Amino acid sequence: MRYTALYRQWRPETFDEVVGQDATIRILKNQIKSNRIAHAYLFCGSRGTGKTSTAKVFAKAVNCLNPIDGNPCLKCEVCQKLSTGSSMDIIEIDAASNNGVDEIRELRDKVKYPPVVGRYKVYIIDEVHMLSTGAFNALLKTLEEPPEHIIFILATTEPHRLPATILSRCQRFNFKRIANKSIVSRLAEIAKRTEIQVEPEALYTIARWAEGSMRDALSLLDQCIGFGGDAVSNEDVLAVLGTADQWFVFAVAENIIEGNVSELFYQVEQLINDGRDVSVFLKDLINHMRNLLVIKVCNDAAQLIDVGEDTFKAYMEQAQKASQERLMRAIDILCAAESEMRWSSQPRVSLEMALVKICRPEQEVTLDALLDRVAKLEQQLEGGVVVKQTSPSRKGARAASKSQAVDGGSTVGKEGGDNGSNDDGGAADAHVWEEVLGIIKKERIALYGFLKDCGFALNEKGMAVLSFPADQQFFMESMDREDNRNFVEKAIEKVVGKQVKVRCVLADQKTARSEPEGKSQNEEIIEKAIDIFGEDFVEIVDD
Amino acid sequence: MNFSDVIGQSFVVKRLKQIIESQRIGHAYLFVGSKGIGKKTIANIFARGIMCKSQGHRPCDLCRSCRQFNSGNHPDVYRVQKGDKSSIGVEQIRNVLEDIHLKPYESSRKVYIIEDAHAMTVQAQNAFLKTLEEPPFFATIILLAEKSSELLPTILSRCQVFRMQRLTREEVCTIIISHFDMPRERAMLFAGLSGGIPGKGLQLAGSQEFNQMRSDVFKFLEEIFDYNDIDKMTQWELFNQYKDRIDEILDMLVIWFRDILSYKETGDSALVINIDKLPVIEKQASLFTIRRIRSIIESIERTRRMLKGNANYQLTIENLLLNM
Repeated sequence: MRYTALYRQWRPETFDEVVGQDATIRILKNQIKSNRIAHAYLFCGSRGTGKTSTAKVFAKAVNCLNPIDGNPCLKCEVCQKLSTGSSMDIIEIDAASNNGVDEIRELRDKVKYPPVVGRYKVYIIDEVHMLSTGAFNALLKTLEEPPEHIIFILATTEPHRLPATILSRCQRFNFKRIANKSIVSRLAEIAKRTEIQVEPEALYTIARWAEGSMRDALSLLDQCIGFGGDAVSNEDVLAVLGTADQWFVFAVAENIIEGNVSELFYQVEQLINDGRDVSVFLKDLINHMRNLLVIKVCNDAAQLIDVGEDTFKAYMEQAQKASQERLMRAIDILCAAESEMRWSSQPRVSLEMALVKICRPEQEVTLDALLDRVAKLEQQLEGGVVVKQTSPSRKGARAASKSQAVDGGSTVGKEGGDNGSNDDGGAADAHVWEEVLGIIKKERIALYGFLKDCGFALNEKGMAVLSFPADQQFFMESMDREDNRNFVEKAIEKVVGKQVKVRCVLADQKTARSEPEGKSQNEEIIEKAIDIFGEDFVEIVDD
Repeated sequence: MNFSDVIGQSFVVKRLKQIIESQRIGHAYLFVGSKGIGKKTIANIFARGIMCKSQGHRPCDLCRSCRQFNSGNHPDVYRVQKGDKSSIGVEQIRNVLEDIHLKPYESSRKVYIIEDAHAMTVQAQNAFLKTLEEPPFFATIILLAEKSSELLPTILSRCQVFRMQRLTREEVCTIIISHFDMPRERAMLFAGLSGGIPGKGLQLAGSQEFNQMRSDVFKFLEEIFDYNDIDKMTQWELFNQYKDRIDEILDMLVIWFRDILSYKETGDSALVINIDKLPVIEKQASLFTIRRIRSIIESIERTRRMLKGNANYQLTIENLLLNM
């Protein structure tokens, strides 16, 4: 006997063999029984849910001479003729390869001829979403009012691509994904009738992978039979699917829960060495984590997880150890890795990265931590701009940037932390100076010229120190003239809101703020004086 | 080449042999695996096997059918290739749909091999659906695809899917040694870099240019700590020079940082792929933080995505360099 794939061999012949579409089947059967048959149907639903098969059965049923409870009898003359496939009354059109307006016009010309053997001529237009817009529109009139002997059945996986005018002319039936239970029982029946032994656990595995598609399930069973012969075990199915042993997945999950990164690296190595498909494994792992999460969250989890008893117990045990947060985070990260893997040519690295990420939550960059770090960096940068002119700080900045380069920025955070407290004032000063310069620039551009390169620091005692670069002594002297100084003091006062004294220094003289131990002698004396007499009694007069 | 000459893929080979022996020959097969993993090699052996006229071991490589196949003249083999174009269009598939209804010329079967099936346009895939589900009894369609995610789920569910496995390092090493005269150690290095894909391993081992590129890139990586931002930017030259092979360079970068990460986490040199650079990796492992490595790897992957999306080459690369 010639071999045909199981899903072709076991295509349903009657409505009763169609699995998992009870509501739709009941309506169709009743329509046939009561002879209230519409002229246009639309079957939509995801792959392998029985659209085309139902359409074929329906086409036979409407023509059958003595239908049994709505089903075609398969015995009468008409059924026999239709079954051979040589009939001219059931016309299957592949809309994807005949999608032009010409093909539809041809169809329109032919609909007027009556059927040859039965009562109806049935057009099954499969993959109808691929028709061009012109073709759809050419079909509209015929679809609305075809001759009495015509039935159209449109089938598609993507109903959203059909124009509304087509949708409104058809009776629409949505085909649901088939429940795992229904798939298993149908598989078991087929296995029994083809005299093949299949482990129940194997059937569940197949059903789970088929994701509600009967064709996928049968196709997989077919491959397993090809591999395992007349007895198919769960191991055979897993082998054909290329998934790892489930206990291996358990072991990996264990390490994830315990945050055992180095073990995970070895396990990935093992996975690769066994020649396993990383993306398949990742899918397994996600599913595993999902199961653990379901157990954590639901009281009656057994119904939601399709596994055998032993496996379920193992799940229960593992779920005890894991926290809900960690599981959710793990699923998030693994799903992200799964989509990233489509791009990456190094799936192994993607998997390893994801695992490290899950196990090292302390490395995680939360939004708050991130904002904090950005703020610190900004401060550092601004502080750096101001003290740029003063040589000690410049050295510091360079040292910082060097250390940044040396250890790849790993210590930036720390440095930021250390400097941060010192430089708080620096950043504030920078703002003040910027504003002051703005005012000066507007009113006395010449003075601005003197000042634009100089550093600025304001101490809490109302002393503003302007530090000029070493080669700008001339500017400093010009600045030190009475009127200029008054002007600058006023400008600063406007900005900070209190009276200040300005003192000018050359950069090689130490500034007041940036190096406390290098304070100029004068300043030390002043400070001492203030300490002794109090601020109110000390007036500083520069000579 | 026959099934016995195939190194690795033992599981796929075993299943295919069983199919030929039991004569349960399906109508649609899909071989999925990265470029260079051996899809075509195996598909050719399999196709020859199901058309072979010998009564004993198939394919026999002796009968008329096998010899015709090997010389590329078999009248009942139809190949679809994308050729110079970037995709397989609906026209090419329509040609198949027309041809498929003609009975085989001299063999009992007709075989259609669609190479680069992942490059079929959506229209082409849709046009194929009905025929792929129920072709004439004598036809077998073999699709070869690099990624199954490029195919419609409706295509996948109509085929028996065979996922090519990546080979172990040992296996790739054996293949490289059988093609090139080189010490085992060196072959192992290429095997590690190939990521289990023999075609890539051979390409690496055979290419002078690749070795030059590798040492250039590694020089950059070794010195990365001595660079400031401006130095890094000047390295753009390196990337510009190898613009056509940027994918390989990005792979190298990813593997480099992955090595550092794994060494940092496990302290075991057995997991390092670039084993010849172990001292440098050791040193850098102590200097990089885990977070930093992770962010670098992420930005490399982001760069890959952006380049695939036709972002400006120079800007993207410079951005990557600054992030490193």
